[in-house]
Amino acid sequence: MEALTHKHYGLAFILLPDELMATQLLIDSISRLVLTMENGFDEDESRLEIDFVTHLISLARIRQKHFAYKKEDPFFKLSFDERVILYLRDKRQYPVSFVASVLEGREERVLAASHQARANLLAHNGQEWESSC
Amino acid sequence: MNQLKESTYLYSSENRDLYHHVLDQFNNNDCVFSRNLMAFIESPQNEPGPFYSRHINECGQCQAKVRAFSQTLKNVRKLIPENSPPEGFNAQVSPEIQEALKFLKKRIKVEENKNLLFSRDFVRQAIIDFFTIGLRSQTFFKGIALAALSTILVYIFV
Repeated sequence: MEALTHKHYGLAFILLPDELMATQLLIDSISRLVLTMENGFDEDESRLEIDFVTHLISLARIRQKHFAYKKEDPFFKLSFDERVILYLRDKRQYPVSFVASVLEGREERVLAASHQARANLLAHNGQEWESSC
Repeated sequence: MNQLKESTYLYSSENRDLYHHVLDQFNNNDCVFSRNLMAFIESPQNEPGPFYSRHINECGQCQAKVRAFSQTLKNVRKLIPENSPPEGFNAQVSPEIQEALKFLKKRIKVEENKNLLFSRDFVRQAIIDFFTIGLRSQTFFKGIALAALSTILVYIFV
């Protein structure tokens, strides 16, 4: 469980860009995970990670509404879902199926959204998406 | 404009050579497979599949597209921040996790006890039901009589 919090600190931080908020988010996600673990300590590891990240995202989605931050970084101008998709898919290279599971959506939707998010990120940075792509 | 005026019907047999020349030029400028290339590279499996993997090795057009895409992706990745946990993160998180795990152990124990309690209750209730309802029921005695009769008949005829 400690490994999970360590592994997903980066994700927590891009959702709530504040050290204290990100750490608290991870702790609360673990507590939520423990409450919902059906098979106790026999839970499958990959299932555990999906559940943990799902809790983390759903908690962050609620908290970010009450959390104002000012970041000039173009990445933080993206929407909540766009940040999740780009971070997990392009930075951490998680498979589309994982991203779709944690966002509780469909894979095709994630693919389309990631394409749009990349273009938006480059646009926020004053760059253009390569037209041949 | 001149090109428009001098347009030629390419599908006639006398223009067959011209048709192939135009087709070659078209293919040299834009490989037909490259139009769907990105869909295959971006497939949920994260790999282009056997046909496209082989084709990319042979086609310059597609290689250029893949290179451009990879470069754009690199630019995107550079813009995505990566933060490591701050100093003292483990010290902050560990006690909370241990507490949560204690809770989980407790929860599992309660659930196990509940299951045990359920099975004990079930047996006790069954015994009580047997003596309170079963022995007073006519259906119960009819059942016993029928079973006894069946057993006797089996003994006689077998």
